[in-house]
Formats: sequence, C-alpha cells, structure tokens
Amino acid sequence: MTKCLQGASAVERILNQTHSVPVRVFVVWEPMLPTDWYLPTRPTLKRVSDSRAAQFWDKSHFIATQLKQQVQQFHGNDPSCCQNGGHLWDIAAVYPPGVKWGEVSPAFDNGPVYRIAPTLEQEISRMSTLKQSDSE
Amino acid sequence: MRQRRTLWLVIVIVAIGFYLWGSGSTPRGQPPRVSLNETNVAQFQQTFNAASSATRVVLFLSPT
Repeated sequence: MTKCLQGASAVERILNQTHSVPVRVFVVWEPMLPTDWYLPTRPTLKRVSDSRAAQFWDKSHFIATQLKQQVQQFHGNDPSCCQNGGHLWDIAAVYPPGVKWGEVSPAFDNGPVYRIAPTLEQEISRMSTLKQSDSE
Repeated sequence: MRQRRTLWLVIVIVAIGFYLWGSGSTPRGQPPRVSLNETNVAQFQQTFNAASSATRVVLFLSPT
C-alpha cells in the first residue's frame, strides 16, 4: 500500500474514533504518480467511508494551488512540506469552525498524512472545542 | 459460440468498469464524487463554506 493510501486509512481510523466530534473531511484526490491515470476507483474512495467526508477528483490541482496560495499569502512563505513538481500532496490542512475558504490559511497543515495522523487527531479535537467566534 | 463469448466478455468489462468508476461510487452517506474542472471548481469552496459550523479537514492524496 502506498503512503498516500495509508494516510487515507489513518484518517478513516481517526473518524471512527471521533464519532461525536463535529468535523467534515474533504478528500481531494489528485494525479501525482504515473499510475494515477484516471479517477479514483470505488475501492480507493472506500478508504474514507465515513459519512462526514466528501470526495473530489482534482486532475488540474486547482485546490492544491489555492491552498498553496493561502499559505503564501497569510504565512508569507511556502508550505514547509509535501510538494512534488510544485503541487502539494499527501498533506492535511485543518480549519476551525467559522472561517471561509480563501479568507485565512489553515490553522494546521502538515504531512505526510500517515505520519502526522496522531497530531491531526489532536488538532481536530482541539479545534472542535473552539467556538466559532474564537476562530473568526 | 464465439459471438456469445465476445458478448459475455464485453458485459464483464462494462460491469467491472461500472463497479470501479460508476457514478455515485462514493461510500454510502457521502455525496457523489465531484470531478473538478474550470467550470465547477467553485463547488469545492461552496461545499467547504456550507460546513462552517464544523472543523474542516482538507486532505490531498493520490489515488494509487
């Protein structure tokens, strides 16, 4: 199993352990390897099977580009990890309640996902205790 | 006999293709997978913002 798919399985485990936590997961699949020649298959999508997830296929890296721009704009530097050919991948970005896409950078971003899974779980729990007004 | 075999082969290939990539192939309870392009890329932002009462995690992964 590739590291990316291990990351997907790690996130599924986190979701299984945080049933009561109000969290939404957006899985953006993007072609990074020579074998990524077509849409993710049903078995791949099933790796994140929790109903709090939504899944996207981003062939042209639109969303990864937007995340990179957020980090550059609000942090003043490039993301510290997880770039390949100029595209972000195998990275998790966490946003607290209340914020809108493009108006802030993520409160936490790091990767590879399978390796940072314990920290990711802590960040999800921590941010979920914030009130919307704390994060706006 | 040969035609029948070919027909079955086509049916099996189509069935496998539908299983792997058929529409709405996301797990139960999730919205259908969205293939983003220049015309619908804003759909990601809309979906993200619509869930603003929750913590949101965006994962970037490759499928293989």
